Amino acid sequence: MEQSTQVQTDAAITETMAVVKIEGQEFNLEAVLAQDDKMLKTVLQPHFSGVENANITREVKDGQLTVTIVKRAQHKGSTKA
Amino acid sequence: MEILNSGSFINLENQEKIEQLKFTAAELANAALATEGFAGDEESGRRLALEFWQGLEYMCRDTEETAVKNIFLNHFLDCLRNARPIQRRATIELSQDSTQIVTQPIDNEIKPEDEFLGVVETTENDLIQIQADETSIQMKDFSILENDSFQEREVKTTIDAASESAESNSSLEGEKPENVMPEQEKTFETKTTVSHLSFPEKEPYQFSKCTVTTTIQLLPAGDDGATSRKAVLSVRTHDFAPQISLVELAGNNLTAELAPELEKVLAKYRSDLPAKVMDKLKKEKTAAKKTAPKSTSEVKTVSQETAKPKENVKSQTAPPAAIQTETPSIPPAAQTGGQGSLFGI
Repeated sequence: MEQSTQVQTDAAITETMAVVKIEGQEFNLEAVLAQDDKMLKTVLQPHFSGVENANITREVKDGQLTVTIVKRAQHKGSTKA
Repeated sequence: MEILNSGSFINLENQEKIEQLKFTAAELANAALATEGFAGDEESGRRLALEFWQGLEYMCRDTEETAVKNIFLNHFLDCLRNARPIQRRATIELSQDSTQIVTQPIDNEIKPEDEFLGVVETTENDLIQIQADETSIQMKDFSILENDSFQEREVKTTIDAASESAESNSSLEGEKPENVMPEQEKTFETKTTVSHLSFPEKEPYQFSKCTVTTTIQLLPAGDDGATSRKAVLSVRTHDFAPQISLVELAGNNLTAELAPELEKVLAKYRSDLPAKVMDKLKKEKTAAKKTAPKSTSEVKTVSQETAKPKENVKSQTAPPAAIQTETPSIPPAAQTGGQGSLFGI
């Protein structure tokens, strides 16, 4: 299962902190950590186990990066969900 | 001693109230034990205690609530535990009786008969061999059996050789509960030692009184050979969003360098926690408000939907009615009589 990463705008990221939206929660994260999928997954893995196979969408608005993570439905009995 | 009324205020300083609370817990536990079909195991007892606690709606100070709750729950569970061993013994006695019943038909049923010679009589040598075989099997399978049970079985083997095998099996099965019982009691004893109750999801929203999960992730050092490393420190309590921060360490002594950074991160989370709690409570309130009007709006929409067809019916039926109301003015007597005949007037 491949994840789809979309950068909707090519605007430059000026804010150092990005906004991460996941599981109905919003919190700030260093933009450096939020830019890369692999890094983002590594950072969020301890708290959100479902991030491994989630859809990650990025959007830059007014220089601030907003990352939206939506968990993907897993097969029944999958342990990593 | 009186049972504490529901909704009454309990504080830890008032010893009388605490005693009443304990008494209430004991009474409830006894009542639960008296009811038929109550499974008195640890888990169901705990659930029941929690349900009782919620139903009683005792008022406590926020700081004392967990302590009072634990007193109630522990006392309730203690009463259940004290009553439990008696129940188990009773069940085991029943099982012994059942084995005795089972053994008798087996003795009657199994009789070694030769096709041509009739009943085969076993010699003493055969009996000794059977005993030896049986004891070896027994030693393999049940090494903890008592000596008394051995003696009983040896006596039985002298009666009939073939029934011996069946009886030994049944007697072994019959002895199982006796041997299992001490193990059950042992596990029960170990359970009683673990009487601490923890409710992680119901921990208070206080930094010092809740589980704080802190994660340290050391990111790989750069390829340029620099010793400095970046570390991701994340802190989280309850189901709040984590607070994730990136720090850079010199890399000479990681543990020493991490300690002050961790302190900073924890101090920041500690200061931010009340705001997070307030946000959560606000969200919960708004969610509750949203759900409440939804239900009323649903009713409204339903009533409107039910009302609309009526209107449509009216609009459909209105023109003929209007015609009808208008028409009587022209021929009054003839039409009224015709319409009246429809309704039997």
